[in-house]
Amino acid sequence: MSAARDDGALGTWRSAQEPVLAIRDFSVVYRTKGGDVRAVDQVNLDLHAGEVVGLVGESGSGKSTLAYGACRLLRAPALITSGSVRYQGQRMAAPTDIMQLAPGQLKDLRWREIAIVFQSAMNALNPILSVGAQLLDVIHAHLPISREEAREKAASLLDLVSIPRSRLRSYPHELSGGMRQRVMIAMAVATDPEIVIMDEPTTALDVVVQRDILAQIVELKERLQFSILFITHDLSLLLELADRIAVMYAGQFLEVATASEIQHEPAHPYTKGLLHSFPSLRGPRRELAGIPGSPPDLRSPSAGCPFLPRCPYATDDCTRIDMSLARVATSRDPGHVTACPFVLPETPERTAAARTGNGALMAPAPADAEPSHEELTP
Amino acid sequence: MSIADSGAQPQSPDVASAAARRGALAMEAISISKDFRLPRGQILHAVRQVSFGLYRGAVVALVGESGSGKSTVARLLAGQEALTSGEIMLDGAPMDVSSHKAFRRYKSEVQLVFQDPFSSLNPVHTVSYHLERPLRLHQASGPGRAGRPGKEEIAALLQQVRLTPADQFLPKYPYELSGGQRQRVSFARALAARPSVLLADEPVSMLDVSIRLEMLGLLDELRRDFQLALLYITHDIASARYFADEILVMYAGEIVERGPAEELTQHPAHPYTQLLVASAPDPDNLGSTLRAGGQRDARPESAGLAATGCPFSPRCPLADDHCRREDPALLRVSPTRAAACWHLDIAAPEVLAGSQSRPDHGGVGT
Repeated sequence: MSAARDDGALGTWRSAQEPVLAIRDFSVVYRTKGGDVRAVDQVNLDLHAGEVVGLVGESGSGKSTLAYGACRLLRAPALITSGSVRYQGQRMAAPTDIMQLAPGQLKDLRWREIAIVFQSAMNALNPILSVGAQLLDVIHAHLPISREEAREKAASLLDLVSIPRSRLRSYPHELSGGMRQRVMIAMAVATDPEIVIMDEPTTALDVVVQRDILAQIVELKERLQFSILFITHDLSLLLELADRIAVMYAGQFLEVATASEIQHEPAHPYTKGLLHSFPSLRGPRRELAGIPGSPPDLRSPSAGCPFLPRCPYATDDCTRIDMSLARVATSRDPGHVTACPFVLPETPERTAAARTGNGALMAPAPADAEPSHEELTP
Repeated sequence: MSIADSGAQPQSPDVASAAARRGALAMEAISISKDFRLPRGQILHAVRQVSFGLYRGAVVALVGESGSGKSTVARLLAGQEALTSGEIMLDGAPMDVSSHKAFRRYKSEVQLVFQDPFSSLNPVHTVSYHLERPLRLHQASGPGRAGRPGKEEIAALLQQVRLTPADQFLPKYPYELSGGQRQRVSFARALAARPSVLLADEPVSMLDVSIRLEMLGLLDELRRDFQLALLYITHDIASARYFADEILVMYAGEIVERGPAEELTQHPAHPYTQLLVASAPDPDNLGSTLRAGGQRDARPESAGLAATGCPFSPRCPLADDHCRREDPALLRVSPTRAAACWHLDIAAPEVLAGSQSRPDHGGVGT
């Protein structure tokens, strides 16, 4: 991908405000004996105040690496090779570049400004400390308040996530999976951070509990006014939850747009594939296909589009053309960008031909128009 | 339900399974129960009087949350756990796992696929070893067969689960495979025994959303090709809608609702099924339920289970004294549907009304 990219293309949403977090030209590699694995490749992303940005991709697409990298939480063999992450919080006088911070400053920034809810609440909580002790730990480490105040704060945090105060004395193993995840969320918001990064916070949970937690997150967000970077492999969740969605594949963004544009006018074939990957419970039974094949080896990226081997629309031109993100001219969302210059929202689905033998669960629906490839000059 | 009143109510009224029209009855669970002894004399009723049938070439989905007992049902059917009461029939004969030999004979008919392909394959053995062993164990007694299974047979298995070229995969170790590829190896290993029944315990939940469908598609093909009677255990009722003929909804060890997949998901009758359906992400209705805070579980999971009466009563918006006192049995609401609720007339009046006037329809792909 070319390095020259239109900054504005990604930042136009609520352009009146400065973003809280502005990730620019960000790259991370994993140094291995077999060569560098390019886990995140020149990514740009803005997060505005009060916004929920969803980061969706398969395992190994680099979504967690991007988020952890932006907080400098990665250890060797991970190496940040380029980019800046500018943070502008309300409590900050001037914007800071997280990449330039000294260790002490980083410590102040983490949790106080940017908190993370990790994927596995089972492992992220300390099994031999009570919930209360762990909450107090966080509060004392980051807030200058008295013991009494801290204890009251810990209790009110449990109120916030609808857990009875008596649970302060409980140990993690005494809580259900959903409650543990709520405790994790309570810990994350304990210091009133401006940004909460959520890494698959509901993946291991049952649907009913998942729903509860998501509703809880939305409620907390409205109340405490933080921004969320929500990482998941489940696009259907993001369609409901996120304001904007970035679709990540092989360390790159393939499409960024508002949730409603992603759902109704997806431009990239991979996004279209993801949208056909989950069965819907309501409405008529749709054709489902999934995305055959597996993600590319990031040690030796091939030329052109990384999605090429799995793409039902692929042509010979795909290896030659510039696949940097470019605006989707027909989109209502001025921030809608796609890396595929060929397939546009109005391109009808290629059903029968592209998907036979790929394990489609239903007979394909008839396409209602002829395919037309319109080119968008990047 | 306490032990005292067990056996009082028939758990499966004369409801025909929507899976029955696909093929012959392969396996039947008749009022099976499993109790686990806990410390301090407590007893956990993990599975309570569950009855259903698995039919050749058909998929029955068992849907429920963690701890509802669905995996225990799979282990009971697989003969890996002793029944507390009830009976399991395989091809019309009672399950026999009394001796080592009988157990092995049973296992060559009934195979289990686990959720986690990362821990169900042995990390120190190759793909080839994983497949050679079941071939040798389960087919050695077959006609015209002796010694080690040939490479062709193993390759054919890999072909069936679309791991090609087989030569490339045979010498690989699990860590060299992706999650999807590992699960394919698990499928191949299960097929090596040439089973008639496949019990798949959350076979795709550990995989990425984008690969799940492909794997379900593969399972569906295998079901067709080998006329497998498939039990699909999942917490994802949406996938069951697409994949299964009949859905059984399990809560706290009991089946609370059963019926043809499409009908049950579109018109759920039991309040718990309704909650499950309402909790699934609904992309066609952006954010509405999340933001409104509506559809929240009235009493969250911490409410626990009821000691007596309907196990769902602590979370149920319709629960009254009757519900808290007495556990409802499955009640037939149509020729192919049943639900266990005292208040079906309030919970699902249209389902009750429909069952009287309209002839039964439903099932997959009709």
